[in-house]
Amino acid sequence: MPLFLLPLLPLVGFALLILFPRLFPGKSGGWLASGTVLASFVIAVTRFLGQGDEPAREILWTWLPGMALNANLSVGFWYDQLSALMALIITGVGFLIHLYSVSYMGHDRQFTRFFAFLNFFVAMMLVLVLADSYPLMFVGWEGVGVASYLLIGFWFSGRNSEASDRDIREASDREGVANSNAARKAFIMNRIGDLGFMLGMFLLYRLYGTLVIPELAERVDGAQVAAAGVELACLFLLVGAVGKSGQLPLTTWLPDAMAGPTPVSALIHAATMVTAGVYLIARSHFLYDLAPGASTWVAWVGALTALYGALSALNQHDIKKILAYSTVSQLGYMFLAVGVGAYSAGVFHLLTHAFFKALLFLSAGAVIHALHEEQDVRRMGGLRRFMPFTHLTALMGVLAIAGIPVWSGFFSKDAILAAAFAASPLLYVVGLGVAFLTAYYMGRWYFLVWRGEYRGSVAHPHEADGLMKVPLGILAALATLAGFLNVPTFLGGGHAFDDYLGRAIPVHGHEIPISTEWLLTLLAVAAGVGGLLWAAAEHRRRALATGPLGAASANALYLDRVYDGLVAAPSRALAAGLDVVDRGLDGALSGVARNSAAPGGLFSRWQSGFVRTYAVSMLLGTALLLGYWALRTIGGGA
Amino acid sequence: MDPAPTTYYVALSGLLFAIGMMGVLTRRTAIMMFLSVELMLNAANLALVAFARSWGDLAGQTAVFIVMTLAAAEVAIGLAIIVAIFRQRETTNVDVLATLKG
Amino acid sequence: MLTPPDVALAPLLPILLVLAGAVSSTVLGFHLPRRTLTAINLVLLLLSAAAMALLWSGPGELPATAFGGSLRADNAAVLLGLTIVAGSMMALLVSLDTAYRARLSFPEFDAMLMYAVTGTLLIAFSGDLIVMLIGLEVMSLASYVLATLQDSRRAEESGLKYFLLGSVGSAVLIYGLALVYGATGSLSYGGIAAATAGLTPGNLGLLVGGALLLLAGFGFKVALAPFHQWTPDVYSGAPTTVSLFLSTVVKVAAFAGMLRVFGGALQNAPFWASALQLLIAATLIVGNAASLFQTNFKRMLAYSAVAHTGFLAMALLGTPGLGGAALGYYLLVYTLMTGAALAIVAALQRTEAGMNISDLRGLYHRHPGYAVALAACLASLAGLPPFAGFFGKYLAFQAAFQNGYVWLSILAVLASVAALVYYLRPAMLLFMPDRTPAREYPHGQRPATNLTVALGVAAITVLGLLPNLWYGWLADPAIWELLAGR
Repeated sequence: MPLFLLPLLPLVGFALLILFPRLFPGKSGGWLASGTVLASFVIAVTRFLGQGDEPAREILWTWLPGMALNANLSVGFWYDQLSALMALIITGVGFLIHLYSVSYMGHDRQFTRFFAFLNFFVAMMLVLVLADSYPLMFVGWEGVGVASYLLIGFWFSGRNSEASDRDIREASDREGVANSNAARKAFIMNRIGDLGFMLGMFLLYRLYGTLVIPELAERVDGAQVAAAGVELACLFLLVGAVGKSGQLPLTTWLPDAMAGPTPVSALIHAATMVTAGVYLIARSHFLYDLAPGASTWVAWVGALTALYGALSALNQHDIKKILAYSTVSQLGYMFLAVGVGAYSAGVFHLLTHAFFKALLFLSAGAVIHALHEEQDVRRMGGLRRFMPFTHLTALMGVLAIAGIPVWSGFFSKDAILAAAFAASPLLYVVGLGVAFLTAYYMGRWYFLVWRGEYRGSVAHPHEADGLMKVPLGILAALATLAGFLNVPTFLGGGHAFDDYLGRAIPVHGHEIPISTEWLLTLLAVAAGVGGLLWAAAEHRRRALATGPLGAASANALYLDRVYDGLVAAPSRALAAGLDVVDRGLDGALSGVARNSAAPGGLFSRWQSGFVRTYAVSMLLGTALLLGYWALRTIGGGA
Repeated sequence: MDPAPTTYYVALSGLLFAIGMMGVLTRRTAIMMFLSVELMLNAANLALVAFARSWGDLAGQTAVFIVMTLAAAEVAIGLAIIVAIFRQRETTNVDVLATLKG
Repeated sequence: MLTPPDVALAPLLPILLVLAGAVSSTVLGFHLPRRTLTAINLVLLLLSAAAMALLWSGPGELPATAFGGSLRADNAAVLLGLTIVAGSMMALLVSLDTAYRARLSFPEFDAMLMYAVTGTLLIAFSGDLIVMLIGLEVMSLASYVLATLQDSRRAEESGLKYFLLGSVGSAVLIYGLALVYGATGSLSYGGIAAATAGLTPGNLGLLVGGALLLLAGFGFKVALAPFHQWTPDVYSGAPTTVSLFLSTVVKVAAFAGMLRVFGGALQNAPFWASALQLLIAATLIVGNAASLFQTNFKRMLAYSAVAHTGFLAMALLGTPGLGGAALGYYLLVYTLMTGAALAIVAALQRTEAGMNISDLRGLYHRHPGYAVALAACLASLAGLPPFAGFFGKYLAFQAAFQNGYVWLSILAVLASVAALVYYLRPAMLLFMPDRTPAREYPHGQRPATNLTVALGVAAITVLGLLPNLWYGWLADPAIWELLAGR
């Protein structure tokens, strides 16, 4: 079956749902959306089963003039092992989350629109991973950014904007402004990343004369290109990846993005979109192999972000924020892996993370639903009794992320740590420490939510309904078992995943003695078990509600404030301008009047309405042009 | 009799242009501003004629006629607009026209 | 020794057809109903487009010329001319629905519009500075009248501002023209380009001074900062249909003139590019920053037109082959998306002052078609793929980047990030829940506007997915390297 069907089906679903919402009463829109993604999944599976060793390239039509090698760039899809895998993850996990959302979003007034956006996201994400050229990838890249923006701000007017009670409505308005701001923050931070991506593209085109990925991969070997150029291009691409994947220093949008509905957090901000940065670097591996400097940057950005995320997660109180910082941290792991050249390990962690993090988010969603939108873990506890099934699935997720043997996270994290050890001991130490912290804060999350006595206000939290249980169950099974896809040699496994992906991306085997490998594995397990035991001990002392590091962690190491300060201190005016922009829709409009000192206000004052002042600027501008030239001429070079 | 060098003419036209510019900047009534613009146009005409003479080329001379025609058309349109404004507001002071701003 | 004048009808035909429309509107205007007259003009514009298409010269053919090369119907002229006709037809179609409501005097509106189009085509077809100047003045004089035509204080104010500042701009431009003539001894583009190769230092001074004055004059016509200040006042004060015409067709023509003069005649002249770079940087900053603070949607679009001037002008910094093609593509896309957005404003506004941004809240629930179309236009203006605005920006940035203007490209990308904020704000409001009573003009059938908007939105979508439909015609660098003729 042709590849273009993969993104086309969800795109058709999106078009139908957004243009003719009235045709889909009740929940039929949700079912249609789920159906299109399921159909894409079926196509992805059949393509996967019929896949040969040679990558397939299917060209659709001529698109951008002159951007390929002596030819016009076409819209085409590229199907190798990496894109096959990503397509399976996106459609598979995507379908499960669609299914879950049919129940989760069932009472929302904008039910149909929600599914339209979800379908749009899936289509764009598929374009991103199947693209055969950087410009087409960029289209998908922007598309998922837009989808993410729309979905983070999905409750842009609050969840109760139509409520009759005035207080509720005002609270809802405040919530709406916060949601809109989170959406805008995400979008703008992403655009900073896009700037890097674009400059990287310009530079690559200048260096190699083509932007088609397979052509580039062939050309980089023979072409005589200054090493500094490749390094710079890779660093530009890294900026793009950092923006999309919420790495340092552009990380602060990702925790805020949890303002969106929980299935969105699961699908976009945990399982798929945020891993696009990892995908970009793995896809450009042939460039990064030539740029050791940029690769080192990738590894260190990843390691530091992993540490940052883990430290920030220690003392969060929002059930989703803990998971969000954990996502930041796990994405850091993946960057670490691809930075040290262990592309296969990085992508493998991407796969297992997609399973267990989606699972954890969906479990959290079930809890939030059961407790009527309560998100504070201090007001939960003991939910194991009310929601036994969800408890079990969440437990699987916790064990997987903590890296307890046989669960999937163990295998993928172990591979990354081994690769880090082979590359640099310092990176390894950071990675191991993060593994310990991960186990602790996930243990804290688990004990606070599920164990102990119930501290909530809702009388009888209800278990998730059948429709939500199905995705939870499947994801729990996958999170438990997916690790066996890639059992390393020294554990007697066949590392099937490495072999499979190795056909598309070179696997650089690291030479570590088997005894050392065993030691590393034992240390990793010890870190995971130790972290969980620490959490259990704290739980016994009932001291879990406040995690370590206190306010520093709760405020995410003050990074947001640092940004505020950095922007505000050098230029109050600029900050005031941004602030006005940031104050929300109506706020911005009324803020204009108050902020006539801000730069835009300055231009407004310049635009005084008096025709003679306009003439002054015109003639002064002319005089300045001539004066500039005179200065340049006198200065010695016209 | 020696013809004056081209530089003199160009310098004079530059002076006229500058006077015109100053007029645009300092006059308040639309008519005076507009007359100053005409001065700038005539400065350009003078320069064109001077250059045409020094190159021995007729194209510059004809260009002057075209610029003069354009200036005449501009007068027609400009005075019409100014009269329309004057009928409504009884003034041609351009400083009263400042409702569109910001 | 008399040689017969070199008059050829074929390259003149597109211009004469439009002029015929203008003259017939003037003469027949008092005898025919408005719709008939507009229909005649639309047909004449279509015929003019067809005549231009016939002038297309294939590879190896020499382009048709008239008056000894003063009028050049080369491929660049044809492509820019078609863009101009597209914009003019949008303006005329929209005026069918709104001119009555806007109290635009009839038949002056149709006549003046067609005269202005005649001027714009002259600029696109010009082969020397004099023809360009005539076209520019015909266009400007007609647009001064258009801006004043509505009998209201706002329109009069905008018209007088436009006229006074415009005549200052023209004077500066003509003086620059005189200096360039003094430096090179020629008024034709080809002669200037040939003469700029080896100049004595004294003449070089004249040439650069003239080029800078020309740049200032054109900077006024296209609204580059700091010559842009008339733009927001005129666009927001004039009736919306006129704003549509001014911000699309007139701007395209001014850019066509810049392309001819700077990309053709002065391509070897030093220094103007680095001065233009400064102007663009200022324009990007001023246009985008001021747009952020507008509360009126129409005025915001006016500032966005200023910001787009900055993006468009970046293409002029590229090598002629790459930059000309990028500019040609971007101009058409810009015309379509700005035209469609202003057509929607014209259809929905209650008064000619346009509407406030907050009035757009919930438009999706009242006019779903217009809301979706407006959102598409805003997304395209913001440069989001898959709409054509993205490629316009991309090509323009790339042209500047490839020619070594790295910092300007980075500034432009940053500016386009800031632009997202003010484009997405109204776009988001469109889909907000509807809590206020409608603030649009409630009455009226608008088939012509609907057609314009639908065609515009369809075109920016299709051109975004298949840019080669248009870019394929533009891509040949030879078209843009011979702007001045041989």
